[in-house]
Amino acid sequence: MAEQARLEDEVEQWLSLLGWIAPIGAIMAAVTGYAYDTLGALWGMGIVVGLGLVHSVFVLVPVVEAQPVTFLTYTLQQEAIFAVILARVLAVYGAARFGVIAGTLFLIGALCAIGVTPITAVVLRQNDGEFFAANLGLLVLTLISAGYLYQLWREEREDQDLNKGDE
Amino acid sequence: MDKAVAAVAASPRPRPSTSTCSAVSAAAGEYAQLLSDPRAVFLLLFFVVTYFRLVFYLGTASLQLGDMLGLRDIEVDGEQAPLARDAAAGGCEEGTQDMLSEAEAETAAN
Repeated sequence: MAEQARLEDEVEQWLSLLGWIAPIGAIMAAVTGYAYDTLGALWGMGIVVGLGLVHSVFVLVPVVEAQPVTFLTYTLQQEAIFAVILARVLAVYGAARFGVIAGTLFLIGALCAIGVTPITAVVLRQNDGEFFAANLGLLVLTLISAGYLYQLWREEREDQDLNKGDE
Repeated sequence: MDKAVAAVAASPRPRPSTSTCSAVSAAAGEYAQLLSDPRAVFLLLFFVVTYFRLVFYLGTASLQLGDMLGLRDIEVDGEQAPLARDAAAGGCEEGTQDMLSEAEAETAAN
């Protein structure tokens, strides 16, 4: 009984700490938005990629004391990604196509997210509830998707070259 | 700005269609044009990977944290989930040993 009470106290403390961390993510929407406007898309997206990489690494650390960092980077990136993606869509395509393109992005994102439930079920049933392999796979995907920064750099260079040609 | 992006950005704002058929046709055209643009495709892939990882963490954080904290009582579909290795090994083994000991004690008492 004493062990259960201690465990319940510990869980409550961790939930309380994570509850305090959760709203902090909101500041990142403003930070990345400002970085995008003043420093450029590469910096704005770079912040999102950086947060994603830190999150993907820390989620692999099976120590509960490391998890506030995982949760903090999760909540920061969650706010940052929407700010930067919407800013990018508006900057590239303008207001006339904003609804269609933003809607398509979120629809396809949501459809892919349906896969979370069966993957979780497989991990619980086939992999003894061990999420390390799934998290490692997501880290690899995150590293691959970080290549988008190179694509952005190319796009910015193309735009600069075209602007020089117009002058 | 490349030609595909410029074409999308410069095209006039879509007008509401009068019939369902033309509305579907117009929307399909919009999406086809969008997916032929490599910039949009790269943006889409980046967003999908990031969004999926965030949703995956959100959906599984309680299980992962529960595992780290040593919780054993999480159930999936009415059955106890095999959350941690020690739950399957240590925990269940100890429980089985306790039950066996009790059964032996009862047998001996009888």
